[in-house]
Parts: sequence; C-alpha cells; structure tokens
Amino acid sequence: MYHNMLNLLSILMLISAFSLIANKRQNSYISTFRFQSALLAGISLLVSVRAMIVTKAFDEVLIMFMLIVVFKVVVIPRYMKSTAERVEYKVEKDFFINIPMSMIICCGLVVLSWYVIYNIDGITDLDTKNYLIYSFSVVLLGLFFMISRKKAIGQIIGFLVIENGMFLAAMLTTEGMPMIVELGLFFDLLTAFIIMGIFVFKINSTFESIDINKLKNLKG
Amino acid sequence: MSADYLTISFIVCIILYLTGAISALATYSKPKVSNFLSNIFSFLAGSLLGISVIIKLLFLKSYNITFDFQNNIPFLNFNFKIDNLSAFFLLITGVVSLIVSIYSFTYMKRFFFKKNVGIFGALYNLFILSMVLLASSNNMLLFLVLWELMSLLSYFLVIYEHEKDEVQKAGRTYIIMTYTGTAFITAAFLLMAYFTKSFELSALSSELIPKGYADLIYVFLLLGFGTKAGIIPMHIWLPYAYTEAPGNVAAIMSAVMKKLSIYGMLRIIYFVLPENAMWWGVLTLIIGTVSAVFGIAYSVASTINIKRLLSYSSIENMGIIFCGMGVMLIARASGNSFLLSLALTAVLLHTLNHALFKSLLFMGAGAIQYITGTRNMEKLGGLIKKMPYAAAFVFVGCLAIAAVPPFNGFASEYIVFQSIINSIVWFVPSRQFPIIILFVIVAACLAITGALVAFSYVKLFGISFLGMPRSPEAENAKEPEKPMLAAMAISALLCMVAGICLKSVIKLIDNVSVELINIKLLAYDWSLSDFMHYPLGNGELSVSTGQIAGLIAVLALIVLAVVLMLRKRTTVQKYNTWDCGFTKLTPKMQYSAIGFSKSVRIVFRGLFKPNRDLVVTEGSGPYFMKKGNYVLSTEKVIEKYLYKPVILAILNFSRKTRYKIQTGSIHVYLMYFFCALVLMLLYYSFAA
Repeated sequence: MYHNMLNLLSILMLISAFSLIANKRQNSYISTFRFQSALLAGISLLVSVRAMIVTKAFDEVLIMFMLIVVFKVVVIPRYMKSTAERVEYKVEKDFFINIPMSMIICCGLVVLSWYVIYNIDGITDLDTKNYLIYSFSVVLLGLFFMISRKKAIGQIIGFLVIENGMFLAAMLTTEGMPMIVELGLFFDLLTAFIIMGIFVFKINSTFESIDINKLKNLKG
Repeated sequence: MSADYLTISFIVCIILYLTGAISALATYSKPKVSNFLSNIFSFLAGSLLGISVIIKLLFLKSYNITFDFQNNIPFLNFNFKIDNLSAFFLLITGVVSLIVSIYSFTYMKRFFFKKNVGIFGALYNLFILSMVLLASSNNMLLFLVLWELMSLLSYFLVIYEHEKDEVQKAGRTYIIMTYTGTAFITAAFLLMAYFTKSFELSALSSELIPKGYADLIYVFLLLGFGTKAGIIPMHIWLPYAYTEAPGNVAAIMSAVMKKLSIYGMLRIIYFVLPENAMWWGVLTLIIGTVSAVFGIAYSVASTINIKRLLSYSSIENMGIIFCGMGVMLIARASGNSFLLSLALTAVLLHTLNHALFKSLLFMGAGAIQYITGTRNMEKLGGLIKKMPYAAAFVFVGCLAIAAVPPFNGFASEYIVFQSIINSIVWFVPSRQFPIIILFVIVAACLAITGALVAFSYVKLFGISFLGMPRSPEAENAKEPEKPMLAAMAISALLCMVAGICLKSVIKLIDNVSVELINIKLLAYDWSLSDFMHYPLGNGELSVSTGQIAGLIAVLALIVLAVVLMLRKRTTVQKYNTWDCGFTKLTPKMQYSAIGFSKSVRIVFRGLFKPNRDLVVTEGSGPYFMKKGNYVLSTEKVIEKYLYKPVILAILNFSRKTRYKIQTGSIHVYLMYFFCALVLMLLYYSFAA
C-alpha cells in the first residue's frame, strides 16, 4: 500500500516534469513547478508518517516536509512569479526544440535512465529501482529543460526541477538522509536560487531582455 | 649535544624568517620601520643559518639534522633532513641572503612612499624561507610544493614594480617558463615515485626504476631544472626577469634560486639514479657548452643594460656548471673516481663562487641604478671618480667573474678546465675518439668563453665606470650609503678569501663529496707546505692560489716601487687630451658599449643577425644630412626560430577551439554537461 502510494506519487512527479517540457509560457512553468513541489512534499509527508508509525518516534523528514511546503511550494514560486512580472512581458517562442520533438527526446531519456539503472546489479529491491528510474528521469528532464529554454526563468526552473529529482532520489532510496545533509542541500539550493533571481534582474537591466542567448556578447 | 643545538637553530631560523615577514606586513604603513624589521630578521636568520651549517659541514659530518612534522595528508610528509649536500646549499642561501639583507637596508629607500615596502619585506622573507626549506626537504611532494612556492614568490618579487609594462611582460615570460619547467620536474618525480613506491627523496629503492625510464627521468630533470637554471634554449625568461627585478631580488635569484636547480640535479643524480649512461653526461656537457658560449656572446654583443649583461653572463656561468656536471656524469659512467671527484668539486665550487661574485655584481648594478636611476650603460661613465668604493668592489666582482687570480672565479674555472683536460687524458688510451674530440671542442669553447667573459666585463666596467659621464645623472652621481657599500665589501672580501684560501673552501665541500661519492678530496687536514695546492695527486697540473696571490702581491709591490722611483725624476704635467684641432671633446666621442662589442657581433653574426640602418631625420639624403639616427638591431634567433612557431601554433589552436567550443552560449555549455552525462551513462551501462 505504502509503496503503491509512493510509486504513484513519484510517477506523477515524472509526469509533471513531462508537462513542464510541454509548457509554453513562463507562468505555467512556475505553476507546474509548484505542482511538482507539492507532490514532493506529499512524498516526504508519506515517508515521515510511515517512519513515525513504525518507530513510534519523531522523524526528521517531517521537518523537510515543512521546509519543502514553505519554500518550494509557497515562497519560491511566489517570488518567481513576481520576478517574471517585473521583467519583460513580451510573449514569444521560448524554446529551441519544438514541443513534440522534445517529448520524443524526453521519452528517450526515460528509456535511457531505465536501461542504465536496470543494469545496476547492486540494487535488488524492485521498488527502489523504480524510484531511482523516476527520480533520475526527473533530473535528466530538468537538465534538458534548461537546455531547451531561452529565457533565464526557464534555466532557474530547470535547476529547481533537477534539485527536486535529486531530493526524490535521496528520500526514496535512503528513507531520509541525515538531517544535516538535507538541510545543507536545501540551503545550497536557496542561495543559488536567490543569486539567480538577482541575476535575472541584472540580465534584464543590461540587455533589456532575459534571453540568455544574448549573453554571447559577453564573450571576450 | 651540539647536534641538538643545530636542530634548534634551524627552527629558530624558520621562526625568524616568519617573524620578519609578519612584522614587515604589520608595520607596512611606516616604510622605514617595516624595511628595517624585515631586513634585520632576514639578516639574523641568514647569519644563524650560515654559522650552523658551517659547523655542520666542518664538524658534524655524519650527523643529519632531521625533523618531521606529523600530519595526516597522504604521501605529503613535512619531513626535513639536512645532510651535507643540503647544508652546502643552505650555506650559499644563508651567506648570500645575509649580505643582501644588509644591502637592502638602504637599497629599498628607492621605493619608500611609492610602493608598499611591507609587502616586499614579507615576500622577501618568505622567498628566502621557501628556499631554505626547499634545500632541506626530504619528501618529493614537499619539494614540489616548496619549489612552486619559491617560483611564485619570486614571480611576485620580480613584478614588484608592476605598473611598468616591461616588468609585467618579464614576469609573464618568467612564470610561463618556470611552470613549464615545473611540469617536467613533476613528471620526473611522479615517474620515480611510481616505480619506487615512495616519496622519500633520500631512501628510494632506485634499483626498481627500469633503465629506459631512468633515461626519461633524467631528460625530464634536465629540462625542468635547466629551465630554472636558465640553460639555453630554456633561458628566454632569464634576461628579462633579472633585469626588471629590483637589484636585491635579482642578486638573490641569480645567486641562490638558480643554484637550487643544481641542488635538485645533484640530489636526484646521487640519491635516486645511482647509475647512468654515458650519453647523459655527453648531453649535459653539450648543453652546458652551448649555454656558456652563446650566453656570454649575448652578454657581450646585445646588451647596453648592465643588469641584462649580468643576466646573460649568469647563463654562461650556469653553462660552466653544467659542463662540470656533464664531466661528472661521464666520469661516473666510465668509473673514473678521480675525475668524478674533480668534476664534483668543480660543480660545487663554481656554484658557491658564482653565488658570491654574481650577487656582488648585481648589488653593484643595483647601486648604480639606485644612484643614477638608469641601467643603461650608454648613459653612464666616469663613475669611478664619483663612487670610488663602489667602483672598487664592482671591479673585484668583474675580476672574479673573469677568472683572474687570486679571486675565486679563477679557482673554480681552473678546476673545471682541469676536469676536462683530465678527461681527455683518461680517454686517450682507450681510443674513444668521438668523446675525445668532444672534450677537445668543449675545452676550446670554454677557452673562448673565458675570453669573452673578460671582454664583457671590460665593457661593463670600462663603459660605465671609466671615461667621462655621458649624462647629467652620471655627472651628479655620488657614493651609495654605507650599508650598501658594506654589503658589497663583504662580498668582495669573500670573493678574495674564497679565491686565496681555496683549500679551506674545499674542506667545506669535502664532506659533501664523502657523502655523495665516498671520496675524500683532501688527503690530510692542514699543512703549510703545500698551502692550498689543488687538485691533489695531479702532479705539476695542480695549482696553488695562495702562491699566485703572493706572486701578484710581490709583482705589484715591485711595479709600485719602480713607478715611485721613476716618478721622483720626472715632473708631471696635467693637460687636456689633444682634440685634433676641433673645438671641444664631448662625452659622445667616447667608445660606446655598442661600438665596443661590434667585433663580437661580427664573429657571431649567425646568432645575432645584426642589421644597421641610417635614418635621416633632417636634411636630404645620407650625404647632406643635418640630423640622423644610427639604428642597430639584432635578432633574437632562439626566440624567433624555436619559440615563435610553437607559440603561434598554440595560439592558433586556442583561437580555433575558442570559436568552436567556447561559443559563449550558456545553452551550448549546458549541452556539454548533458552530452557528457548521457555518454557516461551509456558507457557505464555498456561497459558493465
């Protein structure tokens, strides 16, 4: 039952990553990311509750759940939204590779990650294998998303999605890493996010656009 | 008991250098205090170091100062060991740095309130400290770390006047070349460590190194240490770095830092590679000879800058040392222990002597720059009347480097020649003609070198100290301050003492020789009868520098007496030189440095490709001109034909890759990540 739920939720996360690839507007990127983070939060809640039932003691993953809800579901998307509003508003094609082609490539990536992880001999548990496939696919998709989008918001979202995928992998394969590691990762992410948010403004004010293709001019 | 004192004094030495660095930095806002502190500490540390290593070299032959700082870094042990070889090079470091520290007390006044003297003091102390630790480290990785540190610190000292473009350029060439050299040294060390499974420098099981790899290691070492030593063709950084560095730094770099490459070579040759092929020696000998001849040819013919002249002559001296090293390797390969000991003595002695007289000359050049503000010989002249003491000390340096007895240059160059001539004698019975011919050519080349050295220093001294002043700066020159004179005086005195008391100097080397090749250089300790005869057991070929000195003194007295006697009978009339009926003699009519060296440029025209041109600036044509410039240009043949093609190829390659790989687009960079990740995954899944 527990594993079925986790399977479902992590597949949903993968699907949300696919829908992110299919999105065309910046606002929908952010909404999709919020949805994905909520799924991650659900998974962490599930893991922590299960652990608390089994051990009858407080589980640290619950803290992570709260942090994810506060930051990834509420604060970061809100901040991103305001950033997206304050920089340029022109609607234009934001991707290099068209959507159907991207979907096919992403399917290929999922197959690749399945193939790679399936061949690892050390993992005997089938569930763990599946979780790893989903989360690793999310990471690859996030990277692909970063490559395929032109505007800086796309890169930030892609980065955050990669992070979500890694969180998922860590949580599901280890049933919660040590608290200090999780916290470290989290604050790393937060700092990176803040820096990138500032850079979006800087890029916007310098190039009057957040199309990072224009950064080519900076080459010495 | 006293051995423990040595360890303690070594540690105290390190602490003194560190204190000097820190106190100089702490008081940087008061340049006078800062300069004083940095120099007093390096002076104290240098004297302590010098005294303790002399005690070690003379009285504690078999005791090695060792200490170990425990740490948990794998392979890298902070393991120091001062054996006799290290002690000898520490002696050079200590003596030269203490003299140069005295010199710096006033020399650094040039930079007061213009530059940050505190930083200079800190870098200076740390630079000397890095060299002291380098010569005593017993771990290859530690050696490399300190070697890098030394290069980096010296780079910062070279670019101390970094606001000048030529200084920047010199520094850039220096650091690129020195890192190229370090790459070779690193490769050699890693090869040694790979085969012997140990990073210790002294306790390697050298029989584990396969023969072919030993050859490779030696070639790498020659390239790596040769770059630091400034051997042609790896010398291109040297003339510029020494010229642009402040005088005291140039003195230390030339006298000590370069010598540490000799230390590295000797250390590896004797402790890691106990057997060698004949061709190692032949290669080293050829490289050394080429450096000696071409280095001094450059020094004579293409310089008007005093410091550059000295730098090129440094190349020549390193060439002579490498010649000695070549003979040493040949002797070791052919099993002649007499020749081996002779060549080793030549190497060590010339290392010491070059450190002494080259630091003296660089200090002299620094003093000239300090007083007149120029290093260009064509703007000097007549300085002997303005600064008689400084002139006398520089003259001693010139005599020493030109191998005129009784100064120290004579002693060591004589032994180099002895080793080469004895090699010929040794190889004649076995009829190995190629090598005999090689030695004959080398001897001839070294003889040419000797002549050109004299030529070069006649030019240096004659143009800048004699004649009439060629510029107002030279006209208004005055004697430099006392500390500078004192430092030069000590150096000059040491040059003379080391020349006359040859046997005492060899006594210092004796224990190094026992340690390296197990041969005692002096059969017995002290006897007045053959005062300073060397080499022993070589019959009439041995020479006594003491007797020569005595002879010179007697001759000088006789000449003086004759002059005085003649002078009584004649009257002296002072009058101007006859000016052929022209109106006035001007300083421009004097022999110029360029003109003086023309004959050498003609002889070596293949090397210089001299080109002269008369550019008329006023008037019509060359026959009716009112004003014109005579332009002489020489080509840097080695740079042009060896380095330029390589540099161009590298630049071309990087330009192409820049357009193809380094596009500037973030998406492409992300794409690289992505592709690398996917490829790794594919590789992993297929390989597993």
